[in-house]
Amino acid sequence: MRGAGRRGRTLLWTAFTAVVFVAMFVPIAYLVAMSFNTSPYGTLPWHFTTEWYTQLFREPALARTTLHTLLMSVVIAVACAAAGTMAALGMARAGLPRPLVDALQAVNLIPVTVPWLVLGVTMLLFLLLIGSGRSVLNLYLGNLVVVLPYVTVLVFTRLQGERFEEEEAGAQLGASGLRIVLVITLPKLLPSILAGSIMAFMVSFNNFLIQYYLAPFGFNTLPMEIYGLVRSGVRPDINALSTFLVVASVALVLLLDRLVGIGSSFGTARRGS
Amino acid sequence: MRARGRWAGVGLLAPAYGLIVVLVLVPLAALLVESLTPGRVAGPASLGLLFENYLRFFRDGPSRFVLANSLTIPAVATVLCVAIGWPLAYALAKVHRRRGNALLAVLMAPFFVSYLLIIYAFMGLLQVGGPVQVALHALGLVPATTSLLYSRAAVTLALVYEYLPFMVLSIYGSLERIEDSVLEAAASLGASRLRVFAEILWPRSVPGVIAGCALVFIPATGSFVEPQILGGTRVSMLGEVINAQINQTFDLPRAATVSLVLTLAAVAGFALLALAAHATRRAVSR
Repeated sequence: MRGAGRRGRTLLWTAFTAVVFVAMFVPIAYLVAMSFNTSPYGTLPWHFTTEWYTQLFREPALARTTLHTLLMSVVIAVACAAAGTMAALGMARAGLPRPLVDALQAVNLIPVTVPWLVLGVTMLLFLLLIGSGRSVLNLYLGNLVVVLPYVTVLVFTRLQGERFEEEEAGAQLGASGLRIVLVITLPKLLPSILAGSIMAFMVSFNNFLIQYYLAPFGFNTLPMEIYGLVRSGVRPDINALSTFLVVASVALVLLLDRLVGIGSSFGTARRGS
Repeated sequence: MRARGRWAGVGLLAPAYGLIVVLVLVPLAALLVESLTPGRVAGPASLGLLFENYLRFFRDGPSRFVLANSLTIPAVATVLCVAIGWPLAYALAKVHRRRGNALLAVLMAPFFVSYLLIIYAFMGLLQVGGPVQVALHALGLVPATTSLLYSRAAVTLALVYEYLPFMVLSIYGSLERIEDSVLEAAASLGASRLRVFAEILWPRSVPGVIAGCALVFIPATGSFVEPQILGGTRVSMLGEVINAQINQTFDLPRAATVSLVLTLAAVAGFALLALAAHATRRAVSR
């Protein structure tokens, strides 16, 4: 009796989960379906075509933009992993006074508590004020500062609770601080660093609001390109492009989950270690 | 050793915090100064007051209305994210725990696809002749020629889609931390499932809910593409106003004013949501 009730409940939860997942993928499924539809306006009825894919491949500009944006996001993710991990180590292991660490943590969260739109506008206004304005360098730096908290917070959380036993052992055996960090601490932090920089990569790749205000005129990132296409009306080759993006991101997410366990890095630290 | 450690600490902190100071803190201060300088269209009506831009903003009926939109639409979206996200996080963390992490990763996939594409998809889905509109018409819920676009519902729906994964992720973390032994003990002592929810699950997930509210509500207040594309001329949010001042009228002092108003309103709104979530924690467990 009790077992049957439990099984029924599990079934209900499964049904609920399935419904939400299906609903979440409706817009994406729609884009993919419409990329094979003859109607350029994304309306029914549905007739098969691959015309929009041929059209997409006739536009080398879009491929170039995608590559630029990918390159930018990789550079930012790597820089973010380095700077964020350094900052987290500095907060957790340099023996700074507690109130200072609390203050540093609060400052670190400012880029998350100000809406991205406001951050983009604020950086642009300031850069105009000091005579720098929009540039590729500013685009990179602006994107980087926005994603820094992702790495810093995850790594700092991992470092905060415990001082790893091996670190103590290393110190007692006379290893230098740098050696302890490189040989003992960093390998333990790797899952958190990876999870944080993956977030940083994805957010940089999609951060339209920062890119829109900091990219120099004539330099388009992929989100800016998509925004332009969406505003200019319905463009069926966006559907074809989005199919590629969907397949690539689902593959990337699953691959990374296989490699480092994204979910576990966000969930409990104990399982991730 | 201590002293050397401290210098090493400064060196470690320098790149990240240098960047935050130069690109966030100083610019925010500059934004405040900018917002206090007279706007471009000050003209003869200028009052010569320090807070003139702010006065003008709050005296203007339409501005107040758009500000209200910028808070209520994200607030509704945030509450919906909790309503859908909490049970989903529970299902992933406690019911389907073995597949939980993988499912979480899959759930994040749409968010990794540019949100502009999600907005674009909704444009197609909700338009006249789009699948959702056609389906609702077939059910006799809407007339054949009525578009579902250009409504608060359309903007809210898109925001829920964009931000739900953040909410689930954040609640999942706090639910997963609750030891099963606690839940089993409560059940074997005869606590009803409602009581387990009210006294263990919900109170202990409130920090996750609050963190989720920060990740959903604050960025949502700054959206401008959603109201522009899906809200059309009928639903406006402050993000559109700021963007127009930057890119069309080049009225930087006004843009600075509206940006600061938006930021303070976003933080205040989040504080209210957090207090509300905190209050339910006590109310429920009593």
